[in-house]
Amino acid sequence: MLLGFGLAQYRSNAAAPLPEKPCPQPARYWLELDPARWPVETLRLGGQRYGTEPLRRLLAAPAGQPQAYLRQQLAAAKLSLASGAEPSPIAATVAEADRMLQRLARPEELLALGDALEAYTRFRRYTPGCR
Amino acid sequence: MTWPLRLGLAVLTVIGGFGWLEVAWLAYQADTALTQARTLHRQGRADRALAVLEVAERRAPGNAELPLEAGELYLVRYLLEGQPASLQASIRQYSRAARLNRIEPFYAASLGQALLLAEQFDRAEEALGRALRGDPHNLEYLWGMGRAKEGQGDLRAARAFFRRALEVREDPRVRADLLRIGGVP
Repeated sequence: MLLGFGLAQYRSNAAAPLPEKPCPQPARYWLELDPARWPVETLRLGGQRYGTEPLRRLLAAPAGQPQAYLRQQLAAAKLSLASGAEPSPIAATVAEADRMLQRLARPEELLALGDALEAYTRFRRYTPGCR
Repeated sequence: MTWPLRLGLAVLTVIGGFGWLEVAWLAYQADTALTQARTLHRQGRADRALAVLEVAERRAPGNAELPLEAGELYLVRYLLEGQPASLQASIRQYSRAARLNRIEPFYAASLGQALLLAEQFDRAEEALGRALRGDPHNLEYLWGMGRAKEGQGDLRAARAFFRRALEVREDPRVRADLLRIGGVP
């Protein structure tokens, strides 16, 4: 019974806490990280599949145009998700970005969605433990 | 105290002890499985992580954390690969988690978010409504409810929910959606 009691209490005092999920990372982080250490070898962005090299070029390119900016932010968000970062706060935005890249959208819509993704990856607004 | 009473108490104590031991052992196994699954996911081995969770769910069918974690893994797979089967699997896992934990609004809200992605807007509204009853000023739930209304074609109600979410806190995700459906950003 003592053993039972001890094990029942382990959550509150003895056991190590569950490992936290990794923090989301911005485009620059993924660009500087060796692609061999990326969690995936390919990514689907707006219905188009990218291998490691095209992804690196995408992350390195100046994102002056709204669509390029959104594509870059989506790549960073998806790489973060693949590495185990918390998905629930950004799932709807990621799905919306994928859809938006496949249709005609106004530049301000593309920019607004890119900002939302950047808030997740770079500013970590939705993962309080990572700030 | 007479000896039959003492014997009865002793037997009850032993039975209670074993019951306690079993509960603690199941909780320990579930936590170990979650730790293992998160580590495997970090390594990009989502399939293996799901297999670990599946085994743990069979051993501890009353634990809501395990299907919640599995639901997230399937959700990420859907977001990365776009396979509808992964989204359906995610919904099944979230439904199970929400059935097991009816107290925390987060479980119902997670189900609602996955249902939104599957464009099952009526069911999403019901799940998010449950979450909102538990936490009426939660930005995530208000935002989700706005998306459910948008999916049902009720843009006026959608805008109202997005605005209520923005009253809780400024948020670029909600701003982007409000802009998209023609609300004043």
